[in-house]
Amino acid sequence: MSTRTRLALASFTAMLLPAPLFAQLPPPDGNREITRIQDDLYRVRDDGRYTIVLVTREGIILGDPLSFETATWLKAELALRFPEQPVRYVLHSHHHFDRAEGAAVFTATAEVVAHRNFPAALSAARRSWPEFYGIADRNDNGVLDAPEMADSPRGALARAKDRDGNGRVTPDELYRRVLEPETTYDSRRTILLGGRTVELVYTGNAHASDMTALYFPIERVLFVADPPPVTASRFMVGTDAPRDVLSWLDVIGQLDFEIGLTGNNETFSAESIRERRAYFADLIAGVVQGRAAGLSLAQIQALPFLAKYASESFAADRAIHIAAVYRTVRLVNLDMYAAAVGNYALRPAGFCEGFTACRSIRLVPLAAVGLSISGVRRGVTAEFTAGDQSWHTRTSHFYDQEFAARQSRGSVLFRYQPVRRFSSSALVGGLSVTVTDFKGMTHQKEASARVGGLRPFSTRTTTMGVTGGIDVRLHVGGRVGVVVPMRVTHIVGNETNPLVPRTDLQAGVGLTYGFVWRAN
Amino acid sequence: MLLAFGLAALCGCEASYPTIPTQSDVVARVVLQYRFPTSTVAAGSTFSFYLYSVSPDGAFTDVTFQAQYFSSDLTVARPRSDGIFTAVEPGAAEIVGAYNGFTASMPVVVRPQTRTYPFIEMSAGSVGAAGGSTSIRALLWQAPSLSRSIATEGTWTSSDPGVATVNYGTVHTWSVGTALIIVTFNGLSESIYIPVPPRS
Repeated sequence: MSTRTRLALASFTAMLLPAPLFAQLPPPDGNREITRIQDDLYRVRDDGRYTIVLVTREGIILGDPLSFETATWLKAELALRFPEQPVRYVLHSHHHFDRAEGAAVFTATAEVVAHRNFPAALSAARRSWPEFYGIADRNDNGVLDAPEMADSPRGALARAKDRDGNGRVTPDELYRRVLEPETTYDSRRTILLGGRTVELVYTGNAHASDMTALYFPIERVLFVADPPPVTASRFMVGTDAPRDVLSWLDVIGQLDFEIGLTGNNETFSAESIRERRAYFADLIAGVVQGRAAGLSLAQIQALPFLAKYASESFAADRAIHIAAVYRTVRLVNLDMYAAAVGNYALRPAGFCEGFTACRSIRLVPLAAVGLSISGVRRGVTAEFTAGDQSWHTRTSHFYDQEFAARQSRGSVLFRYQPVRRFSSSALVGGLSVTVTDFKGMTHQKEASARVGGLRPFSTRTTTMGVTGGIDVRLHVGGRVGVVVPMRVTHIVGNETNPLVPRTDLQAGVGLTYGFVWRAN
Repeated sequence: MLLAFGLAALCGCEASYPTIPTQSDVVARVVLQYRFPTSTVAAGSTFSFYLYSVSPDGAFTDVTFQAQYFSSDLTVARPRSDGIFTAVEPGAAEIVGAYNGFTASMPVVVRPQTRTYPFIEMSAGSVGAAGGSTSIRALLWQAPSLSRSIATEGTWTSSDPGVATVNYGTVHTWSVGTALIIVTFNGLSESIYIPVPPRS
C-alpha cells in the first residue's frame, strides 16, 4: 500500500472520530448517526449498516436507503440539516430488503435508480429465501418459523418483518416494502447534480446479481455495500464463486479512488484491491492447476505458488484461502481427441451357414473423434467414428453375395476415472447409434430372370447399441496426450437385418488435446 | 449427444461397391429343354420343348413362344407350333430351337407305337428347380401284364452329373440343363431326358 493511500485512509479514519464540527449537529439517534466523510459527502450509520449521502446545491444523492424506519429517520434528519435540498436520487446498491426497503420514503422527490437486474432479483427474492441472510428454513416449509429465527444471530432482523404478527415470516413479508426502481442502468451510469458526479458501476454477481458500486470521482471515494470479503483486513475467500469475486476485483480495481467504504464500515484502497486481485488470481490458478493434476488439498497447500505474497499481511491465511478455493471452485475438463481405430466386427450368427465359402475382411480402419466433458472423476464423452468399409463374400451353389459395409457411429459415453485426476484413463459406457450402409451384389444362380442373375442391393440400417470400454491416456506434455480408446459395442434389440454385426470391437491410438476450464 | 448421434445419422458415410447393371435383355446363349421328362417317343404322339435365353449374369428367360424350331429329319419329327413336335416315324432326329441368333439342340428318338417284350419303360413326375429331387420309375415289362420295378436292381447312370445325379432311381438335380438318365438291366437299357428348369 502506498504512503499516499495510507495517509488518505488514516485521514478518513480520523474524520470518523467525534470532532467539534459535529458537536453542533443533533446527537445520534440511538444506533443511527450521520458523519461527514469529506466536504459534502456524508456517511449514515444504522446499527451495523452504513450508507452514503452526497449533498449538492441542487439536492441530495442518497445511496442505499436502508430500512423503512431508518429512511424515515434519515429523511427527517436531512430535512433538518439541509432544508433547501430535497433528496433527488436514491441509488440502490442491490435489492436486499435490509438495504433497499427505505426507498419508498423518498419517492415523492427522488428518482430511484438500480441495476437492470434489480426487478428480477427482487421478484425472485419474494418467492424464496435469500442465501445471504444466514437464516435457514430448516424444515423447508417456505417460511421462517420462530425457532429458526431464534437460533440465528440475525433473527431479530427477520422477526421485525413479521408484519402480521403470527410468529412466522414469509419472503413476501421481508420484501413487501421494497419497491422496484424507477430507472435502471446496464453497466454504468453517471449522475450529475449540482456540479457533482456519482457513477453507478455494475460489479457483477458477487453477493447478488444486481450489485452496484457508487463511485464519487471528484471526491475519489467508492462505496460498495456488501462486497466479497476480500476487502477486509483479514482477506477471506467467502462463498461467492471465484469467477464472480475476480470479476468484482477487476471492476473495482479499475476505479481510481483513495477511500473505499463498505456497507459494514470497512475501508480499503484501490491499491489493496489490485494487490488482492493479483493474489486471488494466482490463488485460483494454483488451486486449479493442482486440482487438475489430481493433488489433494494438503498437497496444494504445500506448493510454493503463492510464495511471492509471503510478506503481505493478507496472505497470512494462505492455507485457509487455498482450502476455500479448493472447496468452491468447480472445474470442468474439456478434452478433444482424434484417433485412428481398427474396427473388428464379429459376424452375425448364421452369416456363413449354408454357404460353401464365406470370407470377410472384417478389420477395417476408422477415424474416431470425441469430445469429453468431465469433472475429476465423472464425465461424459460424445464420440463419432467413421471410416473404411468392410468387405464380405459368401458363396453357395445357388446364391452368391458380395457386399461392402460402411459403418458410422455416434456414441454418448459416461466416463468414470478411477484415478482422481483430470484427463486420466477412464472406464466408459453408454449408448450408441450405428448407421451401417450396405452396398453389394447378389447372384441368384440357376434361376429365371424374375429372381435370378446379378442384382445390386443397397440398404441402410440404423441400430441402437450399448458401448463400453476403456480410454487409456498418457500425458505427453502441455495440453497434449496420447489416448488409446478401446470399445466393445453390442447391438441391442431385435435387429432383423441379417447382415448387421451384433458385436464389434474397436481399438486404436490417437492424440488428445485438453484443458481445464474453471466453471465458476 | 445430439451432435454425436446426428453425425452418425447424417454423415455421408455410404458404402461403395462397383455394381454391375443387370443385363437380362442381353442373350449369351440359349438352352433347349424338354418340357417334361421324356423317354423314347412313340410314333404319332407329341413332345414339346422350352427354350430359355440365358443372360450374361446367368439369369434365364423363357422365350419358348418367341423362338423358332426346326427338325433335322421331318420324317421323324415335325414341328407344330411353339415348341410342340409330332413324332412321325421311328428314327432319330435333332430338334433345334433358335432365338435371337442363338441356337440349341436336343436329340429325340421316335419308336414304334408297339414295343417288343421284354423292354424297360421309364417315366418320371414333374421335375422341380435345381436343388430338388424326383423319382424315376423303371419297369421291366416281360409280357403284356407282367412288369416289375427294377429301380434297385438296375444300373443307373447320368449323362451329366453336373445337372443331375441318380441313385437307384432317385434323381437329385444340381443345375439348369438336361441330363439323360439311363438304366440298364440284364442287357436291356432305356433312357429318359430329365429337364432341370431354372428357379422362378
